[in-house]
Amino acid sequence: MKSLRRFLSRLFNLAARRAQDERLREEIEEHIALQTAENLRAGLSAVEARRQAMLKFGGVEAMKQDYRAERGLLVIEHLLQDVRFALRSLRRTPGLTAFVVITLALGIGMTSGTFSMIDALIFRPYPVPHASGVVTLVSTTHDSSFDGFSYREYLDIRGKTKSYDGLIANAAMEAVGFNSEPAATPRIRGGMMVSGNYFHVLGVEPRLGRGFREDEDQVPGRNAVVVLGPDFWKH
Amino acid sequence: MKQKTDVLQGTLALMVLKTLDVLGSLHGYGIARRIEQISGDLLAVNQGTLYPVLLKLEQEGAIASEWGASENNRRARFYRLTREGRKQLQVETQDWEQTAAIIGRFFAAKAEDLS
Repeated sequence: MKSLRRFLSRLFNLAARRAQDERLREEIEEHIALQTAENLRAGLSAVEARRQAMLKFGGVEAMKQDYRAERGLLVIEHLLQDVRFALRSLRRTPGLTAFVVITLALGIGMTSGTFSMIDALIFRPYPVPHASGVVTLVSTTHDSSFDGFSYREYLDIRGKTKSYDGLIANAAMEAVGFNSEPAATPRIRGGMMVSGNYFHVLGVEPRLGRGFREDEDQVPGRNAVVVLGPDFWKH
Repeated sequence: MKQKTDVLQGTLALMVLKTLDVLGSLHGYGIARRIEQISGDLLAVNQGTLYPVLLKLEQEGAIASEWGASENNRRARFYRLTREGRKQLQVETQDWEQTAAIIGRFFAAKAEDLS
């Protein structure tokens, strides 16, 4: 209980360090002033009275160190000192600091960038119900073991398949220019061409508005239909 | 050496508590004076060692302090005993008396008493 109380008060003192230093300084000053007055009454000269008072008080710096050790959490206080010292040293050698910071930034940025890509692509399940039931079909050719299908091939597979609930098609994500005003300069966004049953098969329904209708991809060259992501729609 | 200062600190703390118990509210210099008057040379040098002890006691809640005016009308920190400090003083006084009594008996014992 006693030690807990001491710990808490030390924790508090750590924050109020300046005020505490000031208080101790004032106390020492007052102590020496009173002792000096006493010495004066005993008949010493002004200079000698003060000198004797200070001698009697003893080593102020050593005492202050004891006082600080008693007052605060020395470990944390020393840690703060070390941090401050480190910052000062860094400021003295700006070139080296910049070099090290850039090296670290590039290193961390590259690894975390790669990781978040792999994380999004591989480790995270698709944000759809029954994500474990989603499989990706690829075609293999003479040159490549990871190739896409033509749209006709897709239609064939979709028409004949019995193994899947549904089959969707999508082109690769690519940069698409969008703008709400026809005259304004389009802004570049990521977009993807998908088959009309895309949302239906994945089991995802838009919170607002609607997904594609089944009939909207039946006629080639008809007006394109776009489903906007929420971030894009808000801005 | 270390142990000696620990003992000194412990006795000093007890003296501070007793002084405040007898004399009520006092500033650091006043406490140092009383201890010096009664104990002789314990604080004849290094009166400053009193302040870490005061701080420790205050952090433990045995004493409390507040600003007041000293006899030469300057701001001084006055210390007083808290209820907890009074309890601590009682306990430690008993401990001391017990220890002193035991040590006293050992020193008083003669060879024939032990045989």
